Amino acid sequence: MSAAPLLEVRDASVRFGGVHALRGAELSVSTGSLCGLIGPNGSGKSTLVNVISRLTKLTGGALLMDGDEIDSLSADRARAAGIARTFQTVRLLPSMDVLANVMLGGATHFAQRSVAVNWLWPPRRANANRTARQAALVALERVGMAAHAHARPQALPYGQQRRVEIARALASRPRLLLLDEPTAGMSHHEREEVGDLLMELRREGLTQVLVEHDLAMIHRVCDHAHALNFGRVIASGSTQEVAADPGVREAYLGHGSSGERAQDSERAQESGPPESPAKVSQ
Amino acid sequence: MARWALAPLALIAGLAIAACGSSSGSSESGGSKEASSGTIPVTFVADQTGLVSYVGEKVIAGMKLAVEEINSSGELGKRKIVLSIANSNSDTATATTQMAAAVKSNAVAVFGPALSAEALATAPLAQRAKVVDIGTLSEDTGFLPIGNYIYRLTCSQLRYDPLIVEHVAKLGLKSTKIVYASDNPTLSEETTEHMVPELEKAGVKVQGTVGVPSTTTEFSSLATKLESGNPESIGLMVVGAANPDLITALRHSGYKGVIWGEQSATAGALVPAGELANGFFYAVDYTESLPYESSKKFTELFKQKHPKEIPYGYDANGYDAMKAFAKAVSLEGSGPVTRESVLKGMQKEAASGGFEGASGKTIFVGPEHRDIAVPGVLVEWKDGAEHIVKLGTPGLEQQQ
Amino acid sequence: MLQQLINAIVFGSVLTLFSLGLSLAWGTLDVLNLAHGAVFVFAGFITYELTKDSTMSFVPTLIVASLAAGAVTLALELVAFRRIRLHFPARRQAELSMLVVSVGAATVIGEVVSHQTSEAAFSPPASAFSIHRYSLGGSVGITNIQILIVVAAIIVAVALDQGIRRTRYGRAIRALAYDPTTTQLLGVNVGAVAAATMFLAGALAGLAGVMLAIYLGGEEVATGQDYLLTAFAILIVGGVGSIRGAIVSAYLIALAETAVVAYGPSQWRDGVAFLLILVMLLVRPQGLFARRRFQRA
Ligand SMILES: Nc1ncnc2c1ncn2[C@@H]1O[C@H](COP(=O)(O)OP(=O)(O)OP(=O)(O)O)[C@@H](O)[C@H]1O
Ligand SMILES: [Mg+2]
Repeated sequence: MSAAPLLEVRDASVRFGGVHALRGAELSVSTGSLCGLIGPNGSGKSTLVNVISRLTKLTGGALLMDGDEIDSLSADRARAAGIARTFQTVRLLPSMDVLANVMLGGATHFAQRSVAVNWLWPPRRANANRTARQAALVALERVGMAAHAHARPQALPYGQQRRVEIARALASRPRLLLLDEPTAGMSHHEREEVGDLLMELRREGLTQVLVEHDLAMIHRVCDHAHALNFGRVIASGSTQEVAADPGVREAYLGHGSSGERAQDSERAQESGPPESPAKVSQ
Repeated sequence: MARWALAPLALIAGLAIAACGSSSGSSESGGSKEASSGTIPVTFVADQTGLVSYVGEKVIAGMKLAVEEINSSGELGKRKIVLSIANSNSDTATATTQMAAAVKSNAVAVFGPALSAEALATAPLAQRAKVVDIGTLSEDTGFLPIGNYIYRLTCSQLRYDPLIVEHVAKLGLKSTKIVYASDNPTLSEETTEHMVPELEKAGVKVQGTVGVPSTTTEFSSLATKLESGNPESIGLMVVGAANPDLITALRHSGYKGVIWGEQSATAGALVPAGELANGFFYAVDYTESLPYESSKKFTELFKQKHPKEIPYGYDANGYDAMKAFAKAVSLEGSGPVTRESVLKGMQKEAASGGFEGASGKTIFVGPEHRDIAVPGVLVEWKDGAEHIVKLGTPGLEQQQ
Repeated sequence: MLQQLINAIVFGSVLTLFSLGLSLAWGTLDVLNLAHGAVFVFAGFITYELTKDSTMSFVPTLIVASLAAGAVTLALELVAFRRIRLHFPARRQAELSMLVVSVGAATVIGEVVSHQTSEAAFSPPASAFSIHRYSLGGSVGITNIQILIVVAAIIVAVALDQGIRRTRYGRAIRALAYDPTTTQLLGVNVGAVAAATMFLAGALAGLAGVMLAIYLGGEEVATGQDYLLTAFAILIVGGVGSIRGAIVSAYLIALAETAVVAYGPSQWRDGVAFLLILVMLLVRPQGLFARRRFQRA
């Protein structure tokens, strides 16, 4: 944690009516790090990711990127500023093929002022289209899905759909990648592959936040981790330290009893397509 | 609810709201005016706003013109007509409320709204209150039978449409096809019950009649259908934009024969068709260049007041309704005017040969002489104006 | 027979031009814009105003009036629809409010036009566009404005279909229709895309309005309402939000209505559209070209 923080979350709180999803969460992600985020169901992990990607507004606290406040940015502007994410339940568009879905991920030009120029001037438009296509193919290559560029997303196994989501996030060449349980529903082998990919991305200097239930995965790929419970960060440090923290053990041991709440959270927060398979619990 | 279910719902909402038109307008009902011996209070329940506001506005304009003329000419002595206007918003319920207020007021006569639904709903109130109700609606089915206080001061087009038949025959046209507004009872009936038999009687072969809903917005297929069989003439018994649209479609698809119509084509309705409408003829109760003294008088007054406009039938109808009323008042002497005296005056006027109005010599006709007949006039549309082809005589249809 | 076929194709083209904008707005933004007909008539009115003193020629008029129609719809989007979308996150509630607003807008636009034209039908003068008829042998023929309408409809239909399928804007629109939240998270400025879409929808209504003003002898406010009615049939028969469905069903309905006028009791022509709606709802409620779309609980 020597490098300057790329992202800082200060005293973040989010309320949904009576539910306190975040209550004073603190998080600091240094540039180039791969930061793990763990916590039992309903502890606020997805909410934190939603806050950072500007889907959810903060009720209190501050969000900084490169030291600048970004909590007033709209979601599309945040994306243009380099924050990309994947979703806990896959959110691919069934009416487009894989390539088009990934190209859509590179659509940040709609946030730019030059939209009109791009749109009205055919050579620029064609050029922009070519660039987006190229970027999309490169991203698909990275996740090993280039061969499926023209498949319909819903025809793919769930694990592959998740990889397409990662490619879609990468297509915009983000500076910060937020991954919300990217390996849920994947086979062991696939998880290994995704883990390798994340580490490779890290070596290339991409800052990442990984939400993950699988502690083994966290150990393997992350340099440090934060543990959330009831909307608060209860432990942070190296992955070993966090895993050994008594509060974290306690929270995870009490895991079974929070099953009901976990279901609630899924229903309330996820509005993905109905055809998405139910989240596979680990 | 499925998404599609929204569509019909929305449509209904949309159309209902669109039909209601503009704001509900303020009414200027003169409920509690003091009826001194010098004033003659009357109320016009008019379609000032809403669906037929374009009619209401014109009738009001004509009526006001007559009031000004009558009051300044002294033809009623020192007595002055005071006209109150109550807005019916082209809506039956509102019209009824306004009429109820009017008959409770000191008005000695009421003028009813133009839509037949409104007229039929309001007339019984006047009849019960024993106050003369002068209607300006175009058709009378069920209106006049409501009672002896009910008058209609707009001439039925059935009375002057024979001029059209006569002209078609005179031009030597041997065949015709007629297109009519199938959802307009007046025009449907007029076509099938009157025009077709009369044309046949005059030696014109009617090759067919074609009904179209007035919501039609595509006329090419209709034009093709009308042209097939090469009729020497085509008659349009339709309303609104359908007149210029059909003329345009027929001419653009190469039809060279004669196209004729009926009074809905008046009041500038043909303007959008431009030159294509030249030669189109139809019959009306009033046109700008009518040669009668009383018509010229109206035209002149109208032009003074509205220099940029052309007077048409609705203006004339309003004017004539008021003129007929004034004549009835004057026939009853110079005493105070009461509801009873207005009725007596109307009866006297009807019995003594009617009055001279914007449409010319107007006589009272019908079972109890509570309906009118005007001479009527056949006009041809040319370069944006009506030109007189033939003048009619009042009560023409009775001679046939 | 041949002439009636030509008539049907021309009418289908008119309906295509009219309903594509409506379909676009409804399919992508859930805006059932009941002011579409009024905007269409508004463009005809602008055409009339610009040409009545023979001041402007056809092409500039076409452009100005289409842009004006687009601008009116864009204004509606910015002033009302966008706010409603932000205000009511629940789709259904937003849909209903937008419906009501669009009815209000239709009334206002209609009142303005009918006031300006003294409620009379209006039409650009013959000098604005001189109409020629080309004979195709016998009594069969086609006029230049009819050709123009067909060509314009084909160009617009192909451009829109391909644009939606192949361009970045098209992808953004399709994504927006499916899931606005995710689309925004992917970096699409949904506000800008919505505004562009509504502008486009309005401009298409405008294009149709200008050509119809010249094609018909006269337009009036009610003309827009009547087209709206048929356009609903088209959207339902074609499948809500499907561009290809709208195109196919526009020609289908035109063909059916023309056949009724030509060979049947013409007063039932309106009935055809509604009969088709009814049959469609019973047999294939998702429309001819159903677009899988995601329905929120
Ligand atoms: N949109 C929402 N409206 C209301 N409550 C919400 C909403 N989103 C999340 N919550 C609530 O906030 C709390 C935190 O939810 P969140 O989804 O962030 O948990 P999580 O840590 O991601 O859990 P999981 O491991 O199940 O994904 C839960 O109690 C959930 O019910
Ligand atoms: Mg979660």
